Amino acid sequence: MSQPILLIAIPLGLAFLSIILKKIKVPLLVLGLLFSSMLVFFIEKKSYIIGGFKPPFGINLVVDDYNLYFIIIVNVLFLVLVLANLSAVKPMATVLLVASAGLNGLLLTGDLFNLFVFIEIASIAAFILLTMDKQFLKVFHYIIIGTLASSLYLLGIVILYAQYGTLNMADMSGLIDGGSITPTIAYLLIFAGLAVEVKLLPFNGWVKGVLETASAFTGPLIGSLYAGVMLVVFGRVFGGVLNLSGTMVTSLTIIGVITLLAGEFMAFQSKHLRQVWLNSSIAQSGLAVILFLQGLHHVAVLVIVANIISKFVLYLVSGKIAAVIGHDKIADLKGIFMNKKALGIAFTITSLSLIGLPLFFGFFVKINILIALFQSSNMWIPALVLIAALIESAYVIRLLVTMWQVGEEGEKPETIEKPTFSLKVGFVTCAISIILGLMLLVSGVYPDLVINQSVKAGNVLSVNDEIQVFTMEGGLE
Amino acid sequence: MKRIVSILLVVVLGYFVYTSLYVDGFDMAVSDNRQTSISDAYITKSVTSENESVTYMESTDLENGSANIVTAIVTDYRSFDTLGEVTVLFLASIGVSMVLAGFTKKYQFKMKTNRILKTGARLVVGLALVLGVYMFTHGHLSPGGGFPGGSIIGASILMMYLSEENFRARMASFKWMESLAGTVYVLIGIIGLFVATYFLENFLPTGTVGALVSAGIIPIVYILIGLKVGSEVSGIIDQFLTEEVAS
Repeated sequence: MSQPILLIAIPLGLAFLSIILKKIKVPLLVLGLLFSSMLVFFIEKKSYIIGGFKPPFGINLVVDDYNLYFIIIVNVLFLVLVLANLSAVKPMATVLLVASAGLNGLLLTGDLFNLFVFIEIASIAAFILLTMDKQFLKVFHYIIIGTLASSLYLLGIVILYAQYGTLNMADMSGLIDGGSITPTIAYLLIFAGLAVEVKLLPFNGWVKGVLETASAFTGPLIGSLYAGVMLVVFGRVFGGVLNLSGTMVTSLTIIGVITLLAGEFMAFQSKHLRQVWLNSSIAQSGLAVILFLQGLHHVAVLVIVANIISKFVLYLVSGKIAAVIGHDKIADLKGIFMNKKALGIAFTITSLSLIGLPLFFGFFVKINILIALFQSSNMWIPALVLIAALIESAYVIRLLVTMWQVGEEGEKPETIEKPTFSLKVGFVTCAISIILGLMLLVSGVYPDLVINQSVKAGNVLSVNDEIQVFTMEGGLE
Repeated sequence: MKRIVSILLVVVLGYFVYTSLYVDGFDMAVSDNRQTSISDAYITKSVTSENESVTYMESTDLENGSANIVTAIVTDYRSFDTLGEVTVLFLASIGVSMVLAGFTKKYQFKMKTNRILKTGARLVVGLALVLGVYMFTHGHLSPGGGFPGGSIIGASILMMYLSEENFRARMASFKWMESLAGTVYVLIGIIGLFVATYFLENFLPTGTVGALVSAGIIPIVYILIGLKVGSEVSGIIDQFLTEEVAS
């Protein structure tokens, strides 16, 4: 029985059980996540009814080209992350099981109110998990802004329900397309609600406080997996359900563009490793939002995939560095990779892929973004995206040079002081980073598979026959 | 100044929400209004079967046997949402117990209790407990259900904490109840998936509308929710009314 509901029900049931079976809650956690990450490979693409009532009367789960690959990536990486931090997660085993159920629910659900329930579950689980970093005041800020955001989302759904009388996403989408009234205020409320989790500019005050001090566990979890899932949800709602047009698209796109540019500028100015990545995450979210709003869903999907994988490695390694060295100030990390070359190479591949150097997966992401944008919109959006990419390359290369190079430029080898610290990072972290780095490299050499999948995924949201993509073999097809 | 700006913002937002809901013809946004058709199907219980009307104590073997329409929607038509909301409360209770972990000594109020308060509280607590249990066992028949029933149980525990200086509820047994109720809820869902076809499907006979034993899994689910909510709310109250032991 390859029912996707089990991806939600089994972790949830094990979470409830782990309250009394305290002694074996870590084995229960591993068991649940192992089950999910195996089940994801057997799920078929279709709509699954829950409770026996056909939608729109009941709730359904949807598996299609858009979310299937994200379900696989998120579940597998979640398991990997927990296994890599097994000693640290013991007190959080129950919450992690619920978080896994919540993320799967967010990806799977086909119902707008059910989506709200899962936003609540996933975000409350995130609040609790973030208390691991002992920054209680900053988590409290996140709690306030996060709860306010989900209420705004709920208010938006209430208005849509009052106007259209349905909560099912597919049904709602059909009714909005055929309807005569544009529920602008509902769109804005839903946008504001999701923008907090997606980290768009006026709404992202919580990100800095929370991710600046994230550990090697909470960093990849919140900065990579949660961020990716929330972007997928944003795409599902704004790409697939709500039908935006005219001024609305322009004004929301401007928010995305400002987020992109401000994020890259702040990353350029950041002095600490994790600050760089959190600002870069904000920028990438802005980019994905621009692409979704412009209707370029297939490239938005590429951005999300690349962002999940690269940020996973970058937060993991940065968190470990901060834990081992005691800080993550870039200026004091000179030559840190010299005695841990394998890890350094994985880190370098990932960050070079982030800025879109040829040979890496990021190159195909960047070039397809530009092709799609140049073809679809006026020139100012792709021009600003290019500027953002330049800033990104500047700070990433500057950072890599610092982390590899001992001493100053032109200094003679004899006079250089050897770095005094040694980077003791476990084998597991190295292995994970290297494997994910290799994946970015391989999919950079053979990008066709991933790009074809993303075109299929984009087509789920909008059927568009004239998608042109850049691949290795065919060039512009 | 800040306050005036925020009040103005709320007023503007309220105006927009009001106009988008109550302007003339807002329900004409679509030619066939789903709101009526879906609600009608819920009321006449005719989502999967054609059904003209439902008569109290007469109609039998409907797709959903609950006499209370709210319960029918909350625990049957959209039961999956309710499982999610139960999880939200579960997480809240875990969050409280993690942040306040290590608070073991009961908080002592400045005001001393007296015999009249204690005796009165004991009388009321018994009645309140019975009311709470009544409410979630009759959730499919009368107003109320698992969430208010469980909250009433929590309130009666709170009353005991306030009136008796040395009262501590046995938290271990509440934990058991919380955990088992949640697990059984999920299990019922999975049994539905394997015995019938769908997760959380109502696989028991629904009986006569209005009878105490009717509506299939709905009363079972509501009793589980009542027990779970009751033990979670009590657990949160216990955490809030304890303090750190001074060392």
